[in-house]
Amino acid sequence: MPRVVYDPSASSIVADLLLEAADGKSSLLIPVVLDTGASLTIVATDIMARLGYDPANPTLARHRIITGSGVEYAPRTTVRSAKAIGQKVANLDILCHDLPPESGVDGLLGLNFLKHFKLTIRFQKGIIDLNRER
Amino acid sequence: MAKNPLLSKEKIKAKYPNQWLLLEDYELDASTSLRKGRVLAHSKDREEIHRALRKRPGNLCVHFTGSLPSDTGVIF
Repeated sequence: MPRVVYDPSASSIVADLLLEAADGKSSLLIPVVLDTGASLTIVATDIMARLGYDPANPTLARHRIITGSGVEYAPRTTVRSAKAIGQKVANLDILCHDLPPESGVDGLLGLNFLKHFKLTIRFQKGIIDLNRER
Repeated sequence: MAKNPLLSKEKIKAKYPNQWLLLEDYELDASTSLRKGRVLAHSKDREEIHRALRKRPGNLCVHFTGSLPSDTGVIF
């Protein structure tokens, strides 16, 4: 059973996200916040560029993001695969957008990844289970 | 030049507290969580780690060993 144990006293839930490069020959593991309030998964532009997805490409669709502090626009692209908490999603849409370094993460794991699974968070114990629905 | 030793996540955190790290030869557990890695670069500055990342090919890991101060909240 895919399960992550985290510090329940932490102010956010951080997980590792494994992203496959555009050429399928390498991957990067980055820290992300599990965010059920984010409709899409967000990854830092440097990370997406290193993976070969070229977030600066002007032909990429730009997606509107409504945040706590206003409205922004970010390029959207699709990664070959993304894996977190033991579960993998192919062809996942990603918004290329930088979060402040103080956040301690390089992105957000959003609903477009999580919705493929049954997510259980035991906040008192700091346990996350992510399983396929039967 | 000799490579740095392969260290567990716990040892990495103890040796490089509150830092951004770039790791190679990393190992994951069944939940896609970092278990071990070999430190290639470390810094308090995330941008330095991103610059180091751009120069290196292959399978790599960006990792942060710090945590937010208790008086800081997060809203994305």
